[in-house]
Amino acid sequence: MVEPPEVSDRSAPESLGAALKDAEPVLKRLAERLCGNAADAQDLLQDTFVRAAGGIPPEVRNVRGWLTTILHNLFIDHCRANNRRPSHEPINDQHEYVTQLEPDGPEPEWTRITVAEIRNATDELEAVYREAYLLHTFEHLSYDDIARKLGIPRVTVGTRLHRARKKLREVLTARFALEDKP
Amino acid sequence: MTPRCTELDLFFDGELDTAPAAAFRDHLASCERCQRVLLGRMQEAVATDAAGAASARASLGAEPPPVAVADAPVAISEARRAAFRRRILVYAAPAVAAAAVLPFLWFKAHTSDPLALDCPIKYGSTRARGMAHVGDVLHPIASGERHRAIMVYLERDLRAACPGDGQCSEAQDKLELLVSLKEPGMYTVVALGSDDELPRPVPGKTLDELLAQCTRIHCERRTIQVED
Repeated sequence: MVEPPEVSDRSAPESLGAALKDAEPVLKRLAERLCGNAADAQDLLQDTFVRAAGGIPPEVRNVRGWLTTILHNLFIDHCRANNRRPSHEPINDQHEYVTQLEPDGPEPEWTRITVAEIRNATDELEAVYREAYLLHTFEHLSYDDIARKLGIPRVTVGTRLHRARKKLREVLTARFALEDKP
Repeated sequence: MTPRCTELDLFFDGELDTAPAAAFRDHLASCERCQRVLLGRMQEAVATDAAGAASARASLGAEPPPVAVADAPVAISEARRAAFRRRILVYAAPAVAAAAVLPFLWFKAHTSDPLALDCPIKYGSTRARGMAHVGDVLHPIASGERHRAIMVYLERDLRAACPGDGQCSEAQDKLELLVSLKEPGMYTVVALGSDDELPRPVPGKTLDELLAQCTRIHCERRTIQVED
């Protein structure tokens, strides 16, 4: 039997419109990072909004997180649709390895964490990793700019950022897991 | 996990050139691990987006309001009840979707887009992002917002301003400037945007003084290292 659609206040036009407007700048920046050009990014953003137009599911507690997941899934669909190459691709020997060949730890629940809490958690990083992370994440400097500013090779910037993110995930996962315990 | 997985951070941070980035997107199409890690990176990027932190926090713990259920007739048969539900599905779902989209489209039509800044090299051989050579011509383009301005600094000193510079042109929805890069050094391009009229550029104002205004008006910044 087909159930009737659930209609709640959360999917009311004004709340969805406001949520989309609120999230648009950050989603647009994400889309541009993923697509690499403005036209594809705009298409991805529009597709995300069209998908979201069905309404915010009642179980959604963080609309930005929900919209980010939609955008991610649509981007993966886009990659699959455009993938016309064989699955095996040669890797350049000179390729810069930044993300280590090791499994990532669990992700903290980013949608529950504020930017102030993230800044606070960076205090637990070693100074060199913290510096690279803050310059990249909050000052929006490129790897080249950070390398010049700190007087280190570009590849070292990547390594420090990777280690900073890994440690930060550990700190935030532990902190918020502990807060959840009675 | 494959060697290509090691490129995820470079890809997400915009540090891959066009061809490797395209190859990584192909890899992403079939690598579930990278898909999962990428979602984590995206959620992290949203969480560290200062402007969105407050609204994200505000939505935490907010219980969804009670679901409004249509009053169904109590004495009707199960068959009629099922038909009633189907009619709701057929008519209500598109109506809800349309009602949800219309305010957004209205919002888009009556509000300006957020500020965006692009800094391609118009004339010159440089192709690397954030790099240029003396003799190249930089072509900053600012779009979005009702009022826009572009400032180009060499180190701390203002070198070009738009509006104000002869190489500045303004269309209805974007502002463009051509800057001939005559000296090596670190150039900083700052786009300013506001719904209100922007103050005229002040020649003596340093980059730091300009950036101090960014607490009140929208700013986008790009740096370009210019070499001989």
